[in-house]
Amino acid sequence: MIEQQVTITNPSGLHARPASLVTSFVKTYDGKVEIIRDTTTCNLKSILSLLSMGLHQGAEVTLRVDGPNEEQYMQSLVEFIQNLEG
Amino acid sequence: MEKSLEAIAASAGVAIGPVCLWVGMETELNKTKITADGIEHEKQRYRDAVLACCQQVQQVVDAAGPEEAAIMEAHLAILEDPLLEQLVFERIEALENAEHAVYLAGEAVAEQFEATGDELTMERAADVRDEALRLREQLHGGPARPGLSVGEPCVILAKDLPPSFTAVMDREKVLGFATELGGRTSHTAIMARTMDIPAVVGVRGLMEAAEEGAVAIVDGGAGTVVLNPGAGTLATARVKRQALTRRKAQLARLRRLPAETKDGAVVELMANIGLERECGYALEQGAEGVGLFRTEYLYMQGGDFPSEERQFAAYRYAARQMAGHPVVVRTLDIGGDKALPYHSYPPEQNPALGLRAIRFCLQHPGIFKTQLRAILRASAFGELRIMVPMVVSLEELGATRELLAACMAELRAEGRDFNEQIMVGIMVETPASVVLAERLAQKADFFSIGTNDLAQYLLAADRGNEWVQPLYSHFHPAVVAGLRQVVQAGHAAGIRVTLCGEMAGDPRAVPLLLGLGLDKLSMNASTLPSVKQMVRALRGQDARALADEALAAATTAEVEALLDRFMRTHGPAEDETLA
Repeated sequence: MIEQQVTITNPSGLHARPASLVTSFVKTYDGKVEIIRDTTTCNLKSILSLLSMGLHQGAEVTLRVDGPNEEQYMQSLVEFIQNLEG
Repeated sequence: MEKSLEAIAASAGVAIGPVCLWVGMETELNKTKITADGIEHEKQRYRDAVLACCQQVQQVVDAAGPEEAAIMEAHLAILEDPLLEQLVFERIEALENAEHAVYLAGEAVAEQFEATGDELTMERAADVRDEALRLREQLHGGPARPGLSVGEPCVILAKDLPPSFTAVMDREKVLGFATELGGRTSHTAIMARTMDIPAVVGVRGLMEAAEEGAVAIVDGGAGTVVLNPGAGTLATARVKRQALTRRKAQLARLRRLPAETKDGAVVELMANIGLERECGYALEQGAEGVGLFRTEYLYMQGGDFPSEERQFAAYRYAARQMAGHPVVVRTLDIGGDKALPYHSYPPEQNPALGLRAIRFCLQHPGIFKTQLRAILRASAFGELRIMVPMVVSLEELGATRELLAACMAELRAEGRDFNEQIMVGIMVETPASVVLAERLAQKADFFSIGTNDLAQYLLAADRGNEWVQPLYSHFHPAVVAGLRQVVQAGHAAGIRVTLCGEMAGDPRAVPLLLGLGLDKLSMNASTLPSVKQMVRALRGQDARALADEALAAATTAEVEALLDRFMRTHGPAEDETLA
């Protein structure tokens, strides 16, 4: 299990289209992926959990990955989130 | 045979069309308890329903154009969502049957979405409810959402319409609606006004009399529903509908014009709202702010007092939507005659004179502080103001300011942003506050006169009581004199005076109110354009002369005669001020 901090940088935050892109991306991974802000932990494969977090641009969150090739997967996930547009 | 039903006018306009009966899915539909050995079976039913629904939606996706496909794919994601499954399973494990578990889980998620305060996420709440409904219909083996898949434009008649209905219905297909339940300030009525759809609510015996496919007329201005109208009635309704459409088009052209008299006096026109979502409509109608945000609705939505976060989200939404225009939040005006189902009140002989509004809040400082903190936090996002209802004494305003100061200290300690200079005003709606207006003006940042209650208390006449109805009028000389006194007291102390009762939305009253010197008028957004038209047709000096005459009048009838004469001689001609 590994964790990494990341800041949401795309303008509309993790809402609507960007949020579904992230969950679709994560769904293909075989392990467990969670997103944590303050005391709230959410399953990143759930669009409903992600949307309820209401993450705006600038939100600082922790990603937690537990599964095969964690290091490599974490890197690609962080990259994916940082390259979100819209 | 023609049948005419009278009820509550909820949203103005005339709709004529074939009836579509909305049977809908009752909240309680198929709600049963299961036993522990049925848990696995219910879970399997849920999984099967999800699979079937996904197939349905997938078919829609396959047949749809790219835009609709993207929307429906989002719906697919909701159906397959692990959180939804988890929430449903938790409720099944608490021995709810699958239908009810889905309902509860869907509501829980939708409410969480609504609490984020993010507009896009809040809109997704309707998607969640929609899919929860699809699942329940699948589980129930019932019809695919009656009334929603209507082919041709129709008038929807229902016992009640769920909040999600207005979000999922097709605006082009719904000409108007009427419901058996609800009042003028119920969710359905508010949404109808927001979407500018003719609606009548509280129609007794509606569903029994209604017939699918027969013609109905819904007149949301008059508050009538006519079933199977005869040729004469139909022709009259068509003429009225046409006239309204024409008038609406004329008024629409006024929206961007300022509310100023011919001689350049400006009066600010603002909207009264009950739900934060009404802000968009208010702006569309040309409102320069929200003069009255009734917060009661927030308290009536759930099964408990709304949390600070829920309220914060609502106030912040309004503050952001109005983008720098003021939003006056009236603190909880409840108790006595307006009860909350989850709170027990002591029985009262005379609720209108009982434990309500600021009295209730000061007796329950915990509840009050939650609201004050939420308003303060939201004040960092726009021009929010606080308005205290039912004030009869300086002590009440003082106690409110003390609680507010305590909330500010807490927020400072927590490092949260808020407007340190937030304005705190009072509703002037009790005789005591009129008499004490000069002294209250020294302590309040603004006045807002609530003429509905003020007239009731000044005249000691319950406006809901038909026996004393003739006594109740906001044109009673005592009310007119009271208005003058409050405006003068406010202006002498350098504070602004708003009027936010129904009187503000009555075009006939507008010349009088301007003449009395009111700075702002706040009203239902739908009446705002016609009030603006009135303002633009006036000259300040004529209005002042009218006010002086009205102040000298001895009876309600005399005041009304003066106003009627003024309308004939100085009121807007049909196309005047529209050029």
